[in-house]
Amino acid sequence: MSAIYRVTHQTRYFYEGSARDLVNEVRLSPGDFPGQSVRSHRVVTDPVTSLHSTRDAFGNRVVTMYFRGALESLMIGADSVIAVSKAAPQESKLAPFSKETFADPAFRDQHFLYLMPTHLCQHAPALRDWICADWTESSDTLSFLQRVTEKVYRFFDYRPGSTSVETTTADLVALRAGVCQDYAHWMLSVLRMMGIPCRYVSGYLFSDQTEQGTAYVGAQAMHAWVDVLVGPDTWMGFDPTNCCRVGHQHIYVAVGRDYRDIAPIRGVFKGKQRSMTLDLKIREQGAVGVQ
Amino acid sequence: MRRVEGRNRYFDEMWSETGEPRSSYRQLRGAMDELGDGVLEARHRLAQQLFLRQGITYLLYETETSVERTLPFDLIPRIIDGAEWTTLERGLIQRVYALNEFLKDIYGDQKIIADRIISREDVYSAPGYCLAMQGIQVPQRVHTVLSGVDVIRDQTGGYRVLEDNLRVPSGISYVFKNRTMMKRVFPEGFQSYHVTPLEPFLQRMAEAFAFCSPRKSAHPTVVLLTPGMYNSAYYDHSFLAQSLGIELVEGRDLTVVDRVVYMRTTEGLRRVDVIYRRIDDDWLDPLAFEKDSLIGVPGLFDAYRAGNVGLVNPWGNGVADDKWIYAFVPDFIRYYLGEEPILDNVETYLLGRKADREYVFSHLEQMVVKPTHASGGYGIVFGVQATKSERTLLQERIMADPRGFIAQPLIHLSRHPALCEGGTRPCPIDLRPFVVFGEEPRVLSGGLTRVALGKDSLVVNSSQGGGVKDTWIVQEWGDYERAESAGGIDLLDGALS
Repeated sequence: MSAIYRVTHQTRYFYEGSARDLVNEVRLSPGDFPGQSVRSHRVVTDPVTSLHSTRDAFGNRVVTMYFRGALESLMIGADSVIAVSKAAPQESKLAPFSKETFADPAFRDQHFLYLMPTHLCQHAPALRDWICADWTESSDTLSFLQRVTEKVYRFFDYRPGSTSVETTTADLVALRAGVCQDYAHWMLSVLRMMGIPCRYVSGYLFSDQTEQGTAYVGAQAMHAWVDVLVGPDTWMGFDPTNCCRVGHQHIYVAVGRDYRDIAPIRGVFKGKQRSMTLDLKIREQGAVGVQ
Repeated sequence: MRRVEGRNRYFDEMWSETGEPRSSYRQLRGAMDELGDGVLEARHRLAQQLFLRQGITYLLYETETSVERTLPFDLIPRIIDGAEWTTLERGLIQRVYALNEFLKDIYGDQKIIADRIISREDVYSAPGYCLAMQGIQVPQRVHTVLSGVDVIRDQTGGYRVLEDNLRVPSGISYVFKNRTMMKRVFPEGFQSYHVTPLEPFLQRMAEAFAFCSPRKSAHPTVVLLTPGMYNSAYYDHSFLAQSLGIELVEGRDLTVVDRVVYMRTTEGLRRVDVIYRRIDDDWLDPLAFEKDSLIGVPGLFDAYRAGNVGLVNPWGNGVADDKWIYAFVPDFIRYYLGEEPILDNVETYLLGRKADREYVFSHLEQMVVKPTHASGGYGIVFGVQATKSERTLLQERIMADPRGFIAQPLIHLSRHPALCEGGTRPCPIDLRPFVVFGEEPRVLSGGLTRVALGKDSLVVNSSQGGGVKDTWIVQEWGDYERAESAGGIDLLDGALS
């Protein structure tokens, strides 16, 4: 299944009085991932300024921008056209890593970046207890991952506003509620504690509103899910918030260890923010090459 | 004044085994005896008063204790003879060079991991490892522009490195101030030697800082970035800025526009080429790192990765002066330089390793256990001082987080006479020499000798009432002593293996 999407993302900040000396670091540029290619991409701002493009340690595109003068508001926009084709047949060819591989010290060390605890994805005993039996009982990696995805989905209540960008997995033990990034952080922590390398993905989710049935959760803003290293150089995406595998409706923007590594917009300025609005449109420009 | 008991437990810097002053100390002893105890003590008091009057308070942190304190100046200088110093200097240069190679490699191709000298886990688990530095072009590929390496002498007199300080080492100003004071209050002692001057080091520093400028201009603009006058090392900052002839600035004096750093001046913005920063990694740029930092410069990391500014020192050096990584430094020297280390480490047990842990648990009373993630000396346990229940508790803490601890055998530091109430007493000392690395590494002649004035101190840093001494590197001893020195060289052989 393939599709071409056009994503227009506009974040607008309004300041009390005015803001000065703004610096922003933006990760809104979708990258090329297996099954995903960027046809066009543009970052725009209002007011206009010079944009500086670079890559971070994970290979994500980072755009920085500087505003010296006083601003009453600032719009940061990203306009992307992305072709996605997440082919299912891959799976039959894939021989997933086994438990023995995940337990191998050399393997562990090679992928330590995506196994280590992070500020937001902490390794706590409560998380080990939460997952341990499932890992012991399962024999097959892919079915285990499916099982964990479902378990995370059931464990949490989707409750916007109950958490913040600072919420850690240790906080979530008692909270049991959150939004997509909390679901993702939890799943990352438990998988890493079992020795399974995985990464945080920030991206977009296309949800066809006209289609009957439920729309995906997380389609109104940027979404987050989990990429698991299931085979050599092979990442497979799982979306615990929607209890599903990542498919052609998921558009990858950036990958890291947790949200902090790849926050879509980081900014520092003098002054006070009054409000923020997000206008996100994901439109399908046409499906291509179905079967 | 004679050397007293305990001669087998520690190395005495001034007195030889036979009770004679070591050859490098003979003239000093002569000068001291000539003045007499009464005059010496009067001069000593004068020095304290002068320091107080000049408003110079010694406040050292990033040491083994988190306690900030004023460090009294001790009148009796530490003397290291030129030949011995040369070896020490070579060892320091070798070490800093290898540490720089390690940093280049770790933030680059990571060959040392591929070659299994060190694991990725060891490196990435170090709190000072900075992932954002991965792949970034460091100007001139020098990460360790300025470092301070803490050196001690063990029971046999052998020099050993206790700790590397590769982030923002402090204390250089105190070395200079001690020297000035020494010349003023004890000229008789000072003039009886050819003491290597300190001043050339300031020039070396200025050259090395300019060398870090990515913009090749004849007169790069270098600034010293301080957290402000309430920082405990502010005296160090202002002294160095003045001595190097560079602007002393705070975060709010700098701004980054389009990836270029500028200083706000009365004539408008002026481009900055190199920042000698005295702010820790996390607080240096609120955009890229700790967002609550009010002392940093937003966008500085972006300017750095764009190659528009040099930093002394860059982000991420903490991985190389980490307590756990320390154990691997001799391997770095062998791996990168193909040489044997000139300066030994203190033997270090990594408690994440089963064999090390078992050994340490069965020899706990001879060990010093240090948490690797705590800074400021928090949580250090001396096995010999711990009660049985404290040792049990310690073992439990280690078992809960074995990678969080290292252990080292307790070392009785060398001692040096210091003026205390009612005469002199041999007190434990260490040494922090400073290395500046521009086109090539250079060492400040001497360094900061710290002295523990407390009665039962185990280490200089954790003791109460620590002080500082002037440190003399003496090049020539005069004819009589030169003849004697042939027999005095055994000190060198014993000291440096």
